[in-house]
Amino acid sequence: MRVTAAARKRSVRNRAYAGRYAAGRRDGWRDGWRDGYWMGLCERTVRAAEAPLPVRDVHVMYVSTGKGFPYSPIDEAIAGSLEQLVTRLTVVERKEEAPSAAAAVRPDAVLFLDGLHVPPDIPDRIRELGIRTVIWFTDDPYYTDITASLALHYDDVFTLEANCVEFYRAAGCQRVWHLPLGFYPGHFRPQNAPAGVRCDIAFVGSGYWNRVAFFDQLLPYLKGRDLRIIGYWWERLRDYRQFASRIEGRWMTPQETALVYGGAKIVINMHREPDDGTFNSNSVGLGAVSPNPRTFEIAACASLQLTDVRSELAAYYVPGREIETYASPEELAAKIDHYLVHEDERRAIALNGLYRTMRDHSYARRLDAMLGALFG
Amino acid sequence: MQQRALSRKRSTPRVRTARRSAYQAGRRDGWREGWSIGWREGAAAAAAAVFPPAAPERLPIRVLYVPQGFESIDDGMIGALQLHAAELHVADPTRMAEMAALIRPDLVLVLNGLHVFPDDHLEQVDRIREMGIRTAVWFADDPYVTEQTVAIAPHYDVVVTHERSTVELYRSLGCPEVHHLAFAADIERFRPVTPPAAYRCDVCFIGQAFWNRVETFDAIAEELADLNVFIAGGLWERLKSYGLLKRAIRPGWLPVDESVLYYNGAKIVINLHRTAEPGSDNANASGLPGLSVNPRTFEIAACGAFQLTDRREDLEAYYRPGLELETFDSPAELAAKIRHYLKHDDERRRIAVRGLARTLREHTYTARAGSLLRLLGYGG
Repeated sequence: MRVTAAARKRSVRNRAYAGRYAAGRRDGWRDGWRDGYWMGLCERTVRAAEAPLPVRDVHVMYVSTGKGFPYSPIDEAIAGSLEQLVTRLTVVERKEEAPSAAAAVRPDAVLFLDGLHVPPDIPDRIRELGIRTVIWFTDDPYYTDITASLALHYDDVFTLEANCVEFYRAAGCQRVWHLPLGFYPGHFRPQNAPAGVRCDIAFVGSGYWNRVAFFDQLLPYLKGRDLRIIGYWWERLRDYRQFASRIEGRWMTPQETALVYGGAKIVINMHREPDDGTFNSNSVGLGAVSPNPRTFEIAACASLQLTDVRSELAAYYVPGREIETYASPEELAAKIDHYLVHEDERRAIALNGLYRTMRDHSYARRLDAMLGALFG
Repeated sequence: MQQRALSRKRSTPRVRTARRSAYQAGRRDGWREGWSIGWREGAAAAAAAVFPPAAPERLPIRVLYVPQGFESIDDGMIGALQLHAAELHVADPTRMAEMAALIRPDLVLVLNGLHVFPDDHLEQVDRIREMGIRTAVWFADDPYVTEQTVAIAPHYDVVVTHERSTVELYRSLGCPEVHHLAFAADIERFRPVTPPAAYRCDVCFIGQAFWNRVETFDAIAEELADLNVFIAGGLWERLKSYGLLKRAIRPGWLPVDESVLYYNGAKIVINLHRTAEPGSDNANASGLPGLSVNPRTFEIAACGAFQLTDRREDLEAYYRPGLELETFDSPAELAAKIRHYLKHDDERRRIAVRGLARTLREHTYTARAGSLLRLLGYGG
């Protein structure tokens, strides 16, 4: 066989490419195995935590918050979860239409969420029809100046803040329950985040002043770390310029947020102060003891969560086993260092947190508890 | 280093791009395969982790267990009986009567009673019964060795067989108490692990080359020749296509711990029961069919491996075909399913992990020993 110079050259090149292909295959296999192993662990853990919830033979009307973005995801979460729990669900998009809709279909109960923007005559008109009205306050204790008087217009009051139960009772409400928020598996669940969104440490949230003060102390420890901060108002930071490349001042959909959580080895959670001046009307100075929904959402993405401590936290997660906590910037920095090195420990806690979250903290589970309180 | 730098300098941009895209193509392919294999291993590890070790209620009985030397079954049963019985002793077959006289157990449980058992085995059993001690044998090789077991069975108070088809045979011999009970998996030994690279392959079969297996493998040899196959066991030179598969065959007995690694490393593990037809490979004088599944069925599943098994009548009592494992009725179906499941990673690995979960729930020796003791009338 005559081998031309060109053919020889081509064959040499192909062999070189075969080598590159094989090298790529090896590297890809290793990365794929690592990602696959983790997702296999996560998905199986989710399955193991699943437990069927009862379906109640009741007709519930859910009134969307109607505030649009960023509140529409929570409407989706509540409606999507309720759907699995009742034999009939009616969703009303515009709160103004709730009384006439209730008169038309006569549900067993009408559920409002948040309620800050619902004029009290709306629940009043529904109650006049002899239909039970239910409110779930989801921003307590930050707006208690307003909610105290609103609450009296509903038959049943649920508040995410354990501390507010007595407050509403004192205000004259007869039926008050503590019902924390949860997470919606339709939005938050473990995912294999694309390489581009992965990082070591992530924080998602607005730069409230307490957070800014904390990060001013924390950031010097995190120089050179693979950090992402996503949220508004972070230009308030003292060292903003230095960290500007790590900060994205935007709002994210739950889906985007879930990917950021899932792609981060460690996600920091920091609660708002109950007396933060930025956006609060909490003149009674009610403290906050319940964890924020973010606590559940981070854990649902199987990331290691480092959170500041709300006194009720241990009722939801076992610190050190299902979640990690910090009380100071120094402690947070030290734990970040620790868990970035001790990958096995990090993953073990993340998985335990995932399991607990899927088992106990979904909206469906919360709403099941609500329906239990309402209908037995 | 210098040479590399020089050659890089010489390569044209087009060559560099081609090299890069070859690398990227390799990365993509490798990633997909690694992902799938990693997923199975991760999910299996999680499935195994969520089943806490069983803690059955301990029965107030003293048991003397006489092993057969089938280490997977013996170790599984010994571990399980330690949990179930207040007192467990293990005796060598040569000294079972002597030990029974010393220990005075409520029950002497003999596994299989063949092969390594001494010539005076049955006299020993008779002596134990004379002491007023209850004796039970659990046959593990039915129906292949009924020629021998029919002589053994009448000496025992209780006969347990893993093969449903032989229950009537022992009853017809006058055995007063006969039960059918399948074996299970020793999950301490057969468990999901991440094997070293050398144990990874596409298709794996571990077992002796009985003639029915030889026929099946000859029929699919062409199919297997292009794959990364691992076969371990004796007599495989019986294959017509031995030359074609020789590379894949490791002759002789494979230590159990290595089987675990091969089961874990294979994308597909084939399980093929030996034929029950009387003839060259067995002493099945009764000619009874094999309706029940072999211990291997449970052991493969316990590794979280994807199992392709021939279909025994009892199979569906233990696993749901198509969901927890896959089945074949002919070499053609076996070949087609190998092709299908090598292409469909997602289906394959989900079936494998479901099979593991089912095994951990229902087919451990702890569960089986509980069933056995209940069959024998101990406890609830």
